[in-house]
Amino acid sequence: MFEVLCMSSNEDIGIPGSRYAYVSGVGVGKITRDSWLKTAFPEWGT
Amino acid sequence: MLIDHYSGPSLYTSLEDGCGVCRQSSAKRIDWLRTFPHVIDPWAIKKCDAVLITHFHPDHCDPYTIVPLSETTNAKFIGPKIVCSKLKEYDVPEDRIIQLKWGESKRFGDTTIVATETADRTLLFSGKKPPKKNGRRSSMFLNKNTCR
Repeated sequence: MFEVLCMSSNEDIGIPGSRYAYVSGVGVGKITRDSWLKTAFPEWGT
Repeated sequence: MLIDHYSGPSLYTSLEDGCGVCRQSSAKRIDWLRTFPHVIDPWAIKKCDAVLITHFHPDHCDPYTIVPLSETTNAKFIGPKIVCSKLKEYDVPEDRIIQLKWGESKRFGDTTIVATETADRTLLFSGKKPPKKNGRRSSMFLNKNTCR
């Protein structure tokens, strides 16, 4: 198990739901296809 | 063979966290927005000989590419020292990680990958500490132009 670091929940990059970056923050656990879909496509849905 | 494939989402980088592009441009933060959906499902890739990762920046050393390729293929993962450390963090089996140093090469079928020294300004400016004058990072690039 490893951590992917993401920004804190009160951060955003101008697009609702696109809260993600490789900076200090909370760990989200092991990457799976489902977690990738939820993370990679917040702007367009799955 | 994949080279620096990125399957991740939009993201931001910040000066506070040592972003080299921010340091060069004096921006406190840069948003890297995808302007079109990523249409390649990395979990759908079932055959791949090698994954080349030129350096450790997350848009090149991308866990959203590395993890699925390590699970669905028998690909070898090739990169410099820091990249190889990242690969272990991402649970890539050690016998599938190939660390190359400057001047070394590795052959895959009819393709030879040659690791060449490069001086990428963004990489030099990355990190928590300011770059040294004429400094060199310990990481290297696998120059795409030298694949032959």
